[in-house]
Amino acid sequence: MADEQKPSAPQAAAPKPAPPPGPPAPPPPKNPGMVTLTIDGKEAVVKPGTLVIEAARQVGVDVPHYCYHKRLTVAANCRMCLVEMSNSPGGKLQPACQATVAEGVAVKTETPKVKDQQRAVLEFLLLNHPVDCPICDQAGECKLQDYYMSYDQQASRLDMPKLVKSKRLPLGPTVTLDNERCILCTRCVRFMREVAKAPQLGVARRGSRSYITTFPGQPLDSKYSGNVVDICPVGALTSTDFRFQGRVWFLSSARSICTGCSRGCNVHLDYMRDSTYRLRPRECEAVNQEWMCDQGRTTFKPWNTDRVLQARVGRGEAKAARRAEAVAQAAARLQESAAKGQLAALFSPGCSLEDLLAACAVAKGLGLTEVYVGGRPDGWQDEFLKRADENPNRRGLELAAAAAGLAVRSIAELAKAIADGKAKALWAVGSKVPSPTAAAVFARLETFVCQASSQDDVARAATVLLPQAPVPETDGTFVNFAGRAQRFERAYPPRGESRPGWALCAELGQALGQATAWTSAREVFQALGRGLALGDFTWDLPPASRARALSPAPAGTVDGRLPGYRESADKVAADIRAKVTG
Amino acid sequence: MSTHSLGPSESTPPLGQQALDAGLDSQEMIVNLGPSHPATHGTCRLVVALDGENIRKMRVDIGFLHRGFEKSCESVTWGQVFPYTDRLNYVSSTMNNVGFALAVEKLCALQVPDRAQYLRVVASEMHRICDHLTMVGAMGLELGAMTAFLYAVEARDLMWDRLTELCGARLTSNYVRVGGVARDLPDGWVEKTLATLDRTAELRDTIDKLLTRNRIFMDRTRGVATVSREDACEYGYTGPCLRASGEPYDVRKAAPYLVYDRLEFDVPVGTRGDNFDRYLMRMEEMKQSDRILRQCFQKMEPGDIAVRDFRYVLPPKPLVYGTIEGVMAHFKLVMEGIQVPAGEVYSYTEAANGELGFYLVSDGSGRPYKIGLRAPGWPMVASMPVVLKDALLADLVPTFDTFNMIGGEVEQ
Amino acid sequence: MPYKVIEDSPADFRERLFLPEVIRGVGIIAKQFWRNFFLQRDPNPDILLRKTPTVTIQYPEEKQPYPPGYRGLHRLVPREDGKPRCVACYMCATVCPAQCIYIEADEVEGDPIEKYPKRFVIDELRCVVCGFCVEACPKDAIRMDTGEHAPPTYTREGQLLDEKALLRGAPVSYQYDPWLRRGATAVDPKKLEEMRQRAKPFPAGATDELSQTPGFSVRQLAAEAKGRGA
Repeated sequence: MADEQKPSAPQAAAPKPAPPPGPPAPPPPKNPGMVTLTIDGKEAVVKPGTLVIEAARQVGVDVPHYCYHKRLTVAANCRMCLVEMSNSPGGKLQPACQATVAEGVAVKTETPKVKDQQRAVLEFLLLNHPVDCPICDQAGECKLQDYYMSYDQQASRLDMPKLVKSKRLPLGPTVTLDNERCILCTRCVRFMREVAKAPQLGVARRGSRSYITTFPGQPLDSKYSGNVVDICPVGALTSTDFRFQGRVWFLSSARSICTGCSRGCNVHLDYMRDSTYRLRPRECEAVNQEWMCDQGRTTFKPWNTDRVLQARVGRGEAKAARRAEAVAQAAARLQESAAKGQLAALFSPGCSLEDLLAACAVAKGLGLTEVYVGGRPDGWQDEFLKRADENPNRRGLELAAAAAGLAVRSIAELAKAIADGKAKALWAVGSKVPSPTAAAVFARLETFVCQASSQDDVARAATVLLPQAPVPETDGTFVNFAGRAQRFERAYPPRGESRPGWALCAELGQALGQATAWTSAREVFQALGRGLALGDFTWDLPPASRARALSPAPAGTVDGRLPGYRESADKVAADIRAKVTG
Repeated sequence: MSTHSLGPSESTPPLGQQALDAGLDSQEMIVNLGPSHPATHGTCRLVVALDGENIRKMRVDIGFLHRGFEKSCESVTWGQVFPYTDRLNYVSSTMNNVGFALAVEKLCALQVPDRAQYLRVVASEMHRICDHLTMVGAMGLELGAMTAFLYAVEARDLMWDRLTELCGARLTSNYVRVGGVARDLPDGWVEKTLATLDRTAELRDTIDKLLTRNRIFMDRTRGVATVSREDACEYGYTGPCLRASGEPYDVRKAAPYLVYDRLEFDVPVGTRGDNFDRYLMRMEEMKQSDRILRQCFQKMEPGDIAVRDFRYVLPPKPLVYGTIEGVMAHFKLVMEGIQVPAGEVYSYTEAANGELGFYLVSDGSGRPYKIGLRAPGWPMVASMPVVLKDALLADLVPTFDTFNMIGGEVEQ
Repeated sequence: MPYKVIEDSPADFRERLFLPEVIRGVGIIAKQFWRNFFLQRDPNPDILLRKTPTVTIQYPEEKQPYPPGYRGLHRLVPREDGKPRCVACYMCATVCPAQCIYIEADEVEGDPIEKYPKRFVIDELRCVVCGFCVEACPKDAIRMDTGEHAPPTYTREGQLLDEKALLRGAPVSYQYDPWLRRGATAVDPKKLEEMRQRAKPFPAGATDELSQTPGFSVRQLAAEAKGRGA
């Protein structure tokens, strides 16, 4: 083996030939760092990774969609958002909610192919959809109705019976499910899993037999289950509380803030005439994204019923009085007790900033040096939205008191002061107190002026009761737990004799001889609130979109009043009887 | 609103009169033919300054029937405007409906099926006959010929019976929809209508025999309130009043709409432009409307009575009761109304009294942004003080009749 | 020549004499008079078919019947078990140009229609009798086919008709109605079966009911249905 010729050492290999030139490098992006593409001829410049549907929205092109939601993961199962993209393989349509933007792509949403696809998708979705519009609450805000009129006006080609599934299934305390109406976009499933962090919904079975269901033994009882009603594009998931209360195209919408806790979720306050019908979350990225908890949704009920609408002087049986008289009496009592140094002021952090600024000004004018804080007792808290402090404006109260130079004390100290005999008279702005025994204590005071909007124990204990108007009946501001000041706008004028808190304080102040002649919440803020540390808060809201109506220009109503509102038989009968019998 | 604002008159009476009255001390008397007056139908108030029997100055006060039509329509959807239009010229309501529907269809660029067009013409012409019968009858009544009135309303009532069978109501027909009409002809209706037309023709002939060559009638209306052709054009007259003055202009011939270009009919034109000519126009137009109706009945083919488009017309009830597409389209049309493209349009038709114009402004939503109405009776009423200058008070009444001021359209 | 000039001449001698015209006019009317005087008045309410020229109807003993399709007083159409067909969808209240319909909805258990009108009040004084409510109803639940107009009352409240006053007339059921197709636990099963027997298919030839809708000729639909062999 030694004499075998070793193979000669390999020579230095001949230099490998250069690899054949590949495709040319893609041209550099038009806007470096961003992606530039064309959507329906309009140029869009967006961050890389943006979905085509979002890019389209930015340039004003609306791509219809059902299952896509910008705060949920992409499912792309409804196939409604299919668009033509120039980079799709085989010329297939791409779902705009799943496709990301690419440099130089031309996206077209109005070609015959896309329109045919939209029509076909709608036809498929409608094949098994029940003929439920007359009984479905979603009529007027239903994406099927809207897209049908915009994208598909074909008559039905179905000539056999539709699938029958379960209807009006209560999934939990707040939500009712109608399986026939469901288009299985799975927004609810994804929401519960990803946002509410409580995967209580799922899809059962397959194909056209699929349906949404809860798991055995586990109803849909998450504290955020109400949000699935808002995101359901059709009337499958409906709110049990709002069921059949009224048609949405009669409702008008005001921008408001939830009063359930100190998070201050932005809400739409849907009202008609002088009643609030429901609260829906409003988009606010910083505070609540697009969600709110179920407890907040029920906070509007006391605004409609059991209201204090008349002033009252005297305890016990209803001694209704006109507000002007009651204010005069109240002022006299307050003046008297303030002069003797026996007056205590109890302010509720459920009142708006303007109410509290006015109240603090009047308190200061009365010579008080401290105010006691009432409000609802603490509740539950979680990591998502709900805060334990169930009062919307505690920070606002602290700021207002500090600005007026008043010290802030807790209600326990008030109870002590009353027990010690130091406080013999009480002025309460807002009637929510954290302690259930407070009303009994207040009922023993000889002077208790209370500004309340609900007929509760504290209001009943008052010697002079002034009717205060709640949130929908006034403009105002709440400062949430993080110091963010948020405005809510007035929906309808105050009912009966009630007036907003700041207006009652103004009247009291005038009766006390103070310079409190404010005629609007804006004036109150301009006069007293501008020095507060509220960041870049501006009092004036941007102008509301036209007509505040939920559906564009709804028929049958000019100002949100239900047709035939003018008379109901009982009222007219009563009126006529009164007139006839004198 | 005082009656004393007419001021001193500046006209000079005729020479013979002057000589006779030279020695007399006379004073103008202001007489108020108030809004509630049997002769001023349509609640019109006429304040006249009289010198003896001659009208020296006159002021026409209107607005007593102003109901805010144009503003009311801004708060309802396009389809809900039809009952409002019914009440414009309330004696010929379908013509108002047709005028409005044509305007909306012009904005939407909608082509209405043939049968619907014929039906619109049928209802319009029947209402035209009703309007002219009312005018002729009222004129007879106010000149003392009450019998003519009774015959006219007999004919009109028969017409209304047919219209009830067709539209559902006698006066406020609400028959036309955007894209077509509301109902098809009932069974046997055409025969009944032909019989009604025959009877109407008989009655019309009777009225003609009673009135047209009657000396009293002729004396009171010939040569009275003459409006020359130039003046009529200047004042903005349209319709029978314009044609009576000699100007041959009828929208149905000049700018044909619906199926008027396929129908043969004549349009009467007068020579002198006095009350008598205006009356003759109405009589002749009734004959021509009869002719149009008979032709329509012959030429109508079975077909759709409205466009088959869910964006404009409510789907048929089987589809609304049974299919989701139908009920969704139905709901959207009722809740939001027809989505008429944004724009402005002026559309005009020949109503019974002249050119009825609708100027529509749409902002692209389901409700009108603004509707402007050109009432055919307006120029005639506005010109009355000039036309009746130095006329006798007794001439005021037949002139007012022949101008046919319908309060509903003039005052909206 | 589309435009026809109407020539008329001033009164000629005979006409100016006036008396011949008077006699002629009186003659025309006299003919009417003698005919009415001597011939027995034909009481046929259909004026066109009368053999005598008198057109009077002795109201209220004789009344002219209103034709089918006449927009008369509203009624809420009942189903065979006496409940209203209405599901309180608010279409009629929305479309009414006079805003004269007031509805309050409520839930109904045991019936697939789910909703019913707890209160349904029509203010007949505001109603302009346009018939839009009938056209807008997706359930054939309100009709104006009572053949009478709103009866007069002495008080305004008498003209506010509520659901009890409006629910009247012949009941109507169609085969596609949900309570027939899916069953209703709130209705006695024997009664339900009876209703199923009596239910009509959707009327293809709907001229007798005249809840017609614009858009399509119901006659055509009838012909199509016949062609399909339905």
